[in-house]
Amino acid sequence: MARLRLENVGKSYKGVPAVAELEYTFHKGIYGLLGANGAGKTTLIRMIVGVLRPDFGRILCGQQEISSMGGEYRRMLGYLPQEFGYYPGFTVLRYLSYLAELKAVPPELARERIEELLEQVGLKEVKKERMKNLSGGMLRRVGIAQAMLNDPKILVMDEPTAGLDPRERIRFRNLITSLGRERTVILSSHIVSDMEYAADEILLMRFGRQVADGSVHKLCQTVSGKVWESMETPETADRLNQQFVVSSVKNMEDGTICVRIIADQRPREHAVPAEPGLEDVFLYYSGG
Amino acid sequence: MQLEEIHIDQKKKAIALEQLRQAVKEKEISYSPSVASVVLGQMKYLSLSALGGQLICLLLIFGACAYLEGSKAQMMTWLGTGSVFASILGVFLMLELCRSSSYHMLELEQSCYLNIKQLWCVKMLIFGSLDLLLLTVLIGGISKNVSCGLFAVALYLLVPFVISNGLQLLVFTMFRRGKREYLQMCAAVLVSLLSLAPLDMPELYTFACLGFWGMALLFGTVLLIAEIVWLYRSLCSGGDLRLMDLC
Repeated sequence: MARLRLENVGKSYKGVPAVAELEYTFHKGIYGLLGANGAGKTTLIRMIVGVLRPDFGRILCGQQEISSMGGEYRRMLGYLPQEFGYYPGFTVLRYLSYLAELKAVPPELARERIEELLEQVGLKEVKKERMKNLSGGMLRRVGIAQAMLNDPKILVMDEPTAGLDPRERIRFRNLITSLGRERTVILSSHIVSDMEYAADEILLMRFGRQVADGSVHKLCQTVSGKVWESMETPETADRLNQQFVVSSVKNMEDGTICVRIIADQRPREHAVPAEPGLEDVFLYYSGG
Repeated sequence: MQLEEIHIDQKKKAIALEQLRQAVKEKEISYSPSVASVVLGQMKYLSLSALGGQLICLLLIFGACAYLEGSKAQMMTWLGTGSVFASILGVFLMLELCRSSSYHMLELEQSCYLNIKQLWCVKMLIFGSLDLLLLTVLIGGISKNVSCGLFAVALYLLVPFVISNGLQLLVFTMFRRGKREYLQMCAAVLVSLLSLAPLDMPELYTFACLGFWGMALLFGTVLLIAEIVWLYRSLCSGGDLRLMDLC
């Protein structure tokens, strides 16, 4: 199994760092890149798939730098970009056949593989449909199928659940879990719940830097004792919302409001510690 | 002679079989295609409008040659018509190269085993061959009907062809998708109009000026090669986000 190592990786655009001094190693399993918009997730992903070259640092696959591996590295890759493109006049079958050729899947295997993947993503019925006639969710599923065409050792997906409805998101998460058993899967998202369910390990990013990493459980432990719940009047709840990082505000039946606050110190005398979730971790490290 | 009975360790056998199964499962489902199979494979996916455009050009060339022959046209008319065709021929390749970025496919194609560099090389090879075929037809058709000879006609037509391609490639690398396709066509039309300008100066189409045409061809070729090298390097580094349409 390919081990992917980032060594002091950085990239700037017009002098502004998009990714800075990133050190991390990906093994087998599902990794989630979590961060707000502009945190550097997409830039990092583009460097991992070799579309962009880092300004400094190295990305190693095994012992070799990916830029020196060329086609042999790309052979191991499956990629679903954030902006998933397609030729609108192609049918689903033609589109996948085209990408199978680019991925150097032997022609005698390609057809079989395409059928298998279409079955897996539930698109067998629409294989002769033109890409321009598919819904957003279906297009995303074609995207997942194309990424899997060459049975990649490293599967990279940038915002894969964007545009999917809740049912499709659940279906996607289950699919990813099954795929992650045999390969390295790197997902990026700013949807915390997707990461919470799908990823084994989370890499939290802010302003291009890695701010925390670890399993969901481990990350939650790091903010243990920093998440509080407090029952308040609507006016006080509004005031607390201005004052603190608030992860949720819930109306209770008795007219009071349950405010979930993230703070190093107890924010109110009557506030009680709460069990942290990944959303709290995200807000704690991203500064609200 | 009786063979010695071999004792089979069922546990080891099961382990070996499992390892074999694992190896088969992990077998890479990919191969290294030859250049010929890549070219043939990609021909299926070329845009029909670009190929159709080339075909229409070929028909128009035949039509124009037949018309000019019938009307006993002068050498300048032959060369002017030929120059306009030569300037426009490259448009179809450029439209085909733009297709990846027009449909946001560039990033995905760049991450594949056969990446965008190789894909563009294949497209340049196919459309370049078609362009050369059309140019040969054009040069052959014109040289039969003018007195300046095959070599001079080839030189007169190659200059607008190379400069038009160079200018279109410049537009391709400098502008982002959207207005790029229109600007490329404008560049081709501009060069075709410019290529008509020397028709007002027939002295430029004499033996004495062949050196000037040779220099123009050299300049155009160097410019085109420099642009291709720059394009190649930009794709290698992924540094030019505008070119990659990633910004």
